Amino acid sequence: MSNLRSYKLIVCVLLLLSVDANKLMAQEIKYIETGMPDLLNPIDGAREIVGVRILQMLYRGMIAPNRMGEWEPILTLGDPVFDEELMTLTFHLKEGLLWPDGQPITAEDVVHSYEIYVDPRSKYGNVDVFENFDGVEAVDEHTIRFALKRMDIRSKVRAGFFIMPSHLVGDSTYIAPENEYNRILTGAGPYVLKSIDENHIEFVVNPKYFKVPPSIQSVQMITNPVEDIHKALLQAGHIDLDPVVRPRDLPEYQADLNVELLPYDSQSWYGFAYNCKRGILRFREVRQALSMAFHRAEVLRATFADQGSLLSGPYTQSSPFFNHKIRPYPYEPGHIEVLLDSLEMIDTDGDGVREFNGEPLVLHMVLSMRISQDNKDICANFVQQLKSHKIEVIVDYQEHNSWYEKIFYERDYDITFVQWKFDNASNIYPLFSQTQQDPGMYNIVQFEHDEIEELLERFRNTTDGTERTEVGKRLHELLHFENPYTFLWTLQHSTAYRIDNIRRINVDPFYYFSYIDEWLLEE
Amino acid sequence: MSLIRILVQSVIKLIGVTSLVYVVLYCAPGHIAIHGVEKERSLGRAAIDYVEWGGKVITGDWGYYKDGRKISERLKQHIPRTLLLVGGSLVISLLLSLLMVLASLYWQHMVLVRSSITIINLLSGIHIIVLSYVFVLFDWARPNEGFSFWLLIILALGNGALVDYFSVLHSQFDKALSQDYVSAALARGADRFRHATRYEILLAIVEATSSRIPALIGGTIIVEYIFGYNGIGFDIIKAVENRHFDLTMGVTTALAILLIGISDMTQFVRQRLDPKLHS
Repeated sequence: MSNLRSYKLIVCVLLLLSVDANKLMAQEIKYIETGMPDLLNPIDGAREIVGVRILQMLYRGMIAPNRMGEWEPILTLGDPVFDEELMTLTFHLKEGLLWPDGQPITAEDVVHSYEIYVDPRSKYGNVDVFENFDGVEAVDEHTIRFALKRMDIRSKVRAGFFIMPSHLVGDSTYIAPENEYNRILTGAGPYVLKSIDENHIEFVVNPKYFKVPPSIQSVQMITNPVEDIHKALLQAGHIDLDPVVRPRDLPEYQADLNVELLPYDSQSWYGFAYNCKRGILRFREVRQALSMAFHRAEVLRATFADQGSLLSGPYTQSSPFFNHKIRPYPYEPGHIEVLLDSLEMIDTDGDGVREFNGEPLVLHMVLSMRISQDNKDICANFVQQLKSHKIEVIVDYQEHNSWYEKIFYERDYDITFVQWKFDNASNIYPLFSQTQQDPGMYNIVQFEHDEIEELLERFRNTTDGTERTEVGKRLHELLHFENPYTFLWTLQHSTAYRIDNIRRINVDPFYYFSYIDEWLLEE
Repeated sequence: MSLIRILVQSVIKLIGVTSLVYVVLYCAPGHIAIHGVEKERSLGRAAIDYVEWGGKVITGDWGYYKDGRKISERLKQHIPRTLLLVGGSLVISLLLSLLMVLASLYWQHMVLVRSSITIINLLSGIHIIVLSYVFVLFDWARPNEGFSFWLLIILALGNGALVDYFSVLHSQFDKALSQDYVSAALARGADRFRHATRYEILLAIVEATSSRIPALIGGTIIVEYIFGYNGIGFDIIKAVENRHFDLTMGVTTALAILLIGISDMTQFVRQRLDPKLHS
């Protein structure tokens, strides 16, 4: 009988231990996004911010910015070395680096990855960063040498691209959608892909990660297009993390004792983009007047509870290039009336729409159906404002891909609503340089301005930090004046996470998961 | 009507549906890529392109989606998942409505029976989107967790599916029981359900089931969207959102085959069951 009792006791203790062990072993988090890109390799995945976040878990480059924005070696031994003429740049990979499958990470992998990025078929959106590279070669198994077109000591930051294993990608320098690599996505990041389907991904720790392995053993991402469901799932504890919280949900989360909010600077801004080569939008005065006709401060307060700040140009307050002397355009609805009248844009036939050169003033606003309801309301508000000044606006909501095609390839629009997000480099060259107007490039407003072009080139090429800051501030001022966008606002973003599971997180404003290997869970 | 005649008709219907959708997509503004190739489009070429597309589809080449996966493989995985939802909710609707019909016939004066039927009727009046939100809110069904029994309940109740089923079956039962031959059989002491279910009730079930399927597939699109369930409804949204010609045509063709098949099968079964049509 006593033996039976002892066995029961042992069994109970073992059960208790196993429960505890399971809890300790769980070490996983689940987060949610509204959707995910169809392809997640470093080229295609980088086109959407959801993909940018995922790539941070899977990939690492030779160098990367730290929390202070300074570029430091990641997969390389120390900083890269310039030759005496500053015309080549040499990186040395650390010894013993391995891909998750045990194969060594070599210089050939770096060269092949670079070739994939610059292959025109890849259509890499940020290919401009490689502009100063004249070629790359693998000197030996661990040494990579970049030939430069001109001296530029900042060239090293251009080599921060993600490295892919050439033995898994294949010989081609283009990752076609049907390439099997799109299903395995092996990189040198802290996690590897365990499973992937269209609305669920599971990552587990990379067994060959070159640093201390992350304490979180598994990360799961689920997607759901309905943002109200994100909130319900987080509050019910079915997910642990929502990377971007809607401002309207903040009060509810603040009142929830199980949820912690972590605000972070989004380094992004929203604006109405004007096609500067079409109709009355060619006139700077008109673009300025349109900005003055929209009560941005009121809309920011009413829609986002003042969780952001108005902008005066393309740089946000946290950017070193933000020009404090430039104030956002004030709300002056009377100004547009006076201006349009002075330009002889008058409603001569009394139909409620002004005419210019005998043609009614009709603007074509093309919007993506994927923008949030808040942003749709903001666009509707803007349209109403313009209509009250007798400017007819035809609003055309398009499926996201069709919108992208119209704006980024065909430039078939007058006004659109966009959000631009920047990393620490705050590089606005692709947005405003006249060299970036070809289909697929980012100068969607088709903006051309000689002085700005010269400044953009100086901004890009200078090696002097002070000069760069000065040029940036001047660019801010000039772009405010030229107003190719109505620069609306930058919003304060917040992450919400469950404190009963997550103890400490540290997010990067742009890449988000850069420091996930340092995150800690509650034990 | 012979089986061969039904099959020929099915093929004609299928060509009609797919060609109609093809022409609509073909004429839509903007770029489209047919089998991954962006083509110069003109109405004169539409028929040739359609035949070319049809030929490839018949040989099993349905094209690729943007993620590099074959559309045929994708549909092969997703169609059974949607059929599981549709079939499951049909079975639940049928069982519940049969139960309600029997209860209303046998114990129609009991308050409990009447109030239960009223409650189910009320619940069935709730729109499927609202019902989905309520289920999420009360944590009965969780998004992104794959198949769940609760999704079947939502589909069975939402959009009045259950009530439709109930009203069709109830009226058919009433009609059947008021037939002269049933009255005569009852007068001779026969069991009323054995006689009533002979033709009319089975016919009613077949009719009601086939007519519910298109509505249920419509409901699954919403349910799959809200609950992140990878079925054919998810594909429809994905195809439209991305203006993906091959996936849109793939989903349309698959659904057309499914619905035409069900409709023709119903017609065939009805002929076998209904003595008037049979003769």
